[in-house]
Amino acid sequence: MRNVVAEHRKALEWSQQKLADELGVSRQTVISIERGKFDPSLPLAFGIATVFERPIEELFFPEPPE
Amino acid sequence: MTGDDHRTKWGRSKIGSGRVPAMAIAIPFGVVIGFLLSLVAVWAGIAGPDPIVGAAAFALCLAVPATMSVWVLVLDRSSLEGAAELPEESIESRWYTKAAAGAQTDVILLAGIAALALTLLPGGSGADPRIVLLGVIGASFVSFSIRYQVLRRTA
Repeated sequence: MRNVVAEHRKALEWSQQKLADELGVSRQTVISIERGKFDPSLPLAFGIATVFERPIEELFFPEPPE
Repeated sequence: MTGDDHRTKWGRSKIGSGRVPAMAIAIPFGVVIGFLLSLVAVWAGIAGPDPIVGAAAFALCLAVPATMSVWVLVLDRSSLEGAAELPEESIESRWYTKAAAGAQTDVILLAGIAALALTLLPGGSGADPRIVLLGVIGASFVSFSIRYQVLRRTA
């Protein structure tokens, strides 16, 4: 799944650690989500949407079909 | 969403008021458990020819793991410095689950191969079960560690 978490985080001038603290997860989790290596659970995805005050579909997108 | 106030390296106990350092409970209990287990070792006759030296060695070796075990039981995770508030949502939890599942498969495979080898090899049926069980534990540790490190490094 693709996402624009990094773009929204940088727009707020937050560090990865700051976002991790806001979400209650490890910094490595944020790094992996931003790199697209880790698809967050639905509760965590909603947590991210809440933190950025954006609907979830503005942050996460399915991979385009090949 | 996090409360970093008053977090400490070793955390506080979840028992009682929640203000007692976890190690203040874990260390005395760990030492007592280590001492009691050393008495069991002497009673079972596995402490060597000199019971005092044997008991001291057992007590020293068992006090640390006993202390850490008590610490894990009494620790309030939220009081631990650097601990994530939602560890189950973190990627480390995913790595742990995947590594544990893979290690279980490895151990089943290894146990099957070892059972076949012990059946076919002459004298294999007389294998010491303590050694076999230690081998199973060792294999599961090694498999889990390698799998976890691979997942961590490729993330």
